[in-house]
Amino acid sequence: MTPLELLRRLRDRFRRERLARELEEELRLHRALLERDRLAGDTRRRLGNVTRYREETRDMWSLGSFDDLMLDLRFVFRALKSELGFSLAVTLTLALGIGATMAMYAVIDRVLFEPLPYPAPASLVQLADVQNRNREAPADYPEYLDWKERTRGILSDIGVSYNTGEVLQTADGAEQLQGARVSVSLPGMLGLRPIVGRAFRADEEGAGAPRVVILSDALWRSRFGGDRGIIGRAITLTGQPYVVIGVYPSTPNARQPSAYQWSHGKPPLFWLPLQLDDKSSPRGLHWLDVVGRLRPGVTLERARAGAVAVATSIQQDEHITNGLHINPLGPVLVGAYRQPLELLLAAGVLLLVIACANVASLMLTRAAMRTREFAVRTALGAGQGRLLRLVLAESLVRAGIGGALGFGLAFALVRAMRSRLGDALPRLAEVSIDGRVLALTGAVSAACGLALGIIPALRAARGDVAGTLRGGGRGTVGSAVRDRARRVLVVAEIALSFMLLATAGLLARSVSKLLDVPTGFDPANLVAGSAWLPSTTYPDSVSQRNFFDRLLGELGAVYGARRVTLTSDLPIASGVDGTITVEARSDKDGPMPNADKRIVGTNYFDVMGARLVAGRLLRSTDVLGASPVVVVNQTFARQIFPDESAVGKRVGFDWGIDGLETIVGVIADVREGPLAQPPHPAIYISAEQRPNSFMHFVVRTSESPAAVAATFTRILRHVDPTIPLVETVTMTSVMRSDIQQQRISMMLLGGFALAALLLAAIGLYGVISYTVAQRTQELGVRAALGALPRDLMALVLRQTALFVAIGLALGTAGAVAARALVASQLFGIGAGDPATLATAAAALAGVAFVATVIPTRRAAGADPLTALRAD
Amino acid sequence: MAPKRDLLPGTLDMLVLKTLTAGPLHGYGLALHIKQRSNDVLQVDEGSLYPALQRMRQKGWITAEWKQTPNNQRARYYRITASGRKQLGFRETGFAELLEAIHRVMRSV
Repeated sequence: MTPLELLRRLRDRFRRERLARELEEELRLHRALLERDRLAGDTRRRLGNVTRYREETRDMWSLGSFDDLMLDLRFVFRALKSELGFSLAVTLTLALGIGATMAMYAVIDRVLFEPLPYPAPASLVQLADVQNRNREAPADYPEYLDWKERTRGILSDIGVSYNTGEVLQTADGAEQLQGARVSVSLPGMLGLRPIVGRAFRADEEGAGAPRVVILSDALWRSRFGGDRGIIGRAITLTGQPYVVIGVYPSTPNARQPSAYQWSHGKPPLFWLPLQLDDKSSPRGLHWLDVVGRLRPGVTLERARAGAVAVATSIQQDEHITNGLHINPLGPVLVGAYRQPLELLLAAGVLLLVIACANVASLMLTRAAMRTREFAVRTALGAGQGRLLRLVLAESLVRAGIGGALGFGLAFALVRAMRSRLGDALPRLAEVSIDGRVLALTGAVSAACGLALGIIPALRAARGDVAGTLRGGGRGTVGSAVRDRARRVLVVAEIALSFMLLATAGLLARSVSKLLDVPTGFDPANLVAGSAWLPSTTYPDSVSQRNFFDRLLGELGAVYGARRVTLTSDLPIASGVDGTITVEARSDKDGPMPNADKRIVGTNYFDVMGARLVAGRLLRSTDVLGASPVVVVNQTFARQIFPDESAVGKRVGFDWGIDGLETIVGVIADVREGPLAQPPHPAIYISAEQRPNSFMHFVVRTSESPAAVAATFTRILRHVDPTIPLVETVTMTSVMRSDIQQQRISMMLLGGFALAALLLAAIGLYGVISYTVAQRTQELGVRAALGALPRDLMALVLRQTALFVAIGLALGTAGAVAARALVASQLFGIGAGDPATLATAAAALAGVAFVATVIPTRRAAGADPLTALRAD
Repeated sequence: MAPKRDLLPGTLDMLVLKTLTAGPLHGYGLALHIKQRSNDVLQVDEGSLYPALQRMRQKGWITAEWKQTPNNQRARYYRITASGRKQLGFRETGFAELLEAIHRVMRSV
């Protein structure tokens, strides 16, 4: 058949009703003319076999296999429609499993496995400073210069960046903007090319170099109207003129290659060249993110060996103890998300498996009911191939619809995650349901359809026709095998649901434990704003202190002096830590300790609600000129003065401040770092004695954060209109964002677990209904012999109890096997926490009980006579 | 009256196509023409004719079109296409060769 002919046939197929009508008309005319001619003289005529040629032409207007397929599909859709409940259950179940898995796959694929958006990302590495106890830290500036000098053998390029905030002064007013300070080498390493103007030149790096700025595309368009004339003109950043030399695109590679930027930050709005010196950024101030590019042919192992040699040579020359680690960049940027995401993907796959088990169980029930239907079809001449195709087509159509719905669900899930979770996950904004996810969804759906259809299909094709037809239509063929299969499926569902439920429970307990971590202060009703004083207008300690004193005074007039205070870093959000020197101790006594440093108002502890353990708190008399004093936390006291009282000891810092400070008091630990980490040593310095250019002002008030922010803005404008309010946060929101990742894991996994529980309940309900229906006669006999409904109920419940017991045992074994994946995500609780596992087991048992009681009550309450007659 | 003869297999298509080279005709006209030209030897019954017409239409050898007959009746007229003429050529050649072969066999004894 030529293609053209096939096309004509196909066209005829769709207009065959009309063709048949036309043929009838043609034949009528033929007869009429024949009749006329016969009258005119013809005598004998032969009439053809009308039916035969009608069929012959009809066959010509159809396409064998095509029409069979259409027939199958029409049959399938009729079956789907006639068993709407069943079809709905199957498709929705599959959609749930497929949707959850695909959404997680889309996220994990983009966040973890998509190469970094920089050129040749595989050869990019992070260079980390190594401090005592092998703790990695950002680099300090002199160290960066040393590395740059001495890693030439292994790195072809090295770059550095840190975040910077500047105040952009325009006609509309002052505005605080986040930008980046970068070595001139860095943008090239990231593959950034200016879309307008030029990149930084080598002579623009270093202290005293000309003030130049490159704008981001976003800033250029929003604040300067995308005007190319801006190149060569000066803009005012924090009171200083900077000449605009170019514009960088706002593409994903504009994001700085630091873990913090990747998990929290937005791409910088502007770039400034690195212009540090040893004075502004001395040794010990670890804050620079350093990246390098391996020379072609240099493996990671060789680079690491080289790093050891570099560190050794620096240690000898500079008399320092810091080491150097070289790490692949990808895991540094997104590595923290690997385990939570893998856990979530595993949970999604588990849900899909449960969904498939559920559907398989439903299919088996239906196959049992359809045994007779298939026997009749076979008896009437349906070929085995045709039956096989029919059952497979049904399964595939269901899986296809389920897959399509699941695809929609994945789309909705990803959208919801993008809009709800925002910056909680790096690259979340890049996650999309693309062709790859579509293809995988198709493949998974087809696999589900085939896997779920093949067994019932083979059964249908192999059925014992005579036996079934004789068997009174009760569909008993192979029922023993089938029942066993269904029981296995239900037990598997219970086991897997238990695993999900237990994991969700463990995560929920972790989050609640995190929320219960004693923070050492009262976070309720605390609102904080912050301001940063440029060194141009506030060059020294006195001017900085005067500014914040005035600010605090005006805030105190509104909220009460005892309810407002200052701190350089908010609790929980972590802050700069640095090396501490202890009087009468040297390097020989062991590595110098680290501590979180906080510059705080003298009433800080009272406002925050921190508790004094020894000595005294800071006082308003601890001012500039008076003997310098500090307060430390208990962890500091315990770690650094384990066998003696910390009060009265003298400590010093190796940056910016000369001389030693006396410890006057010890407070109970205030959580300065993430809640999930044990408390760090911390040291609190009086803001009166050591003023800082950047401070948070904290207010304890029941006013709404928005109202407080408005007050902050008003007062700041009054004190100095050139200083913008950086941001206003509540302490509770800081804590919330600290445990956000755990919370997200808990919510997603909790959702999966609830869905799994529901599916397990449906599966169990199906099996129990089926068994009860099969045992109607038996139950009737028992009832007739005097068994009470209660006894019958107990009979069925015993079966459920067995399922649940086996399922829970297997589920516990599975949970134990998977505990490595779970344990890393837990806080303050073991992966085998008995209370949580028991609660999950009880919840599952409760649901199983309900799923059993509902169908059984119907059967147990039935009239024994009806039950006995039932057949 | 001449005895009725069955057609050799495959010749109906050729006869129909040949007849249509003279101009469009409807089904009954085709049957009548074949019958008259063969002096009533060849009789085409509608049970063979109409399926054959459908088949040839699908193969693209003829096209069909509803028209009025001279007596103002609606009838479907068939017209031969270029591909139909080509087909007719093949058939005629094949048929002539077949006849020639049969003749030779018949004369040889």
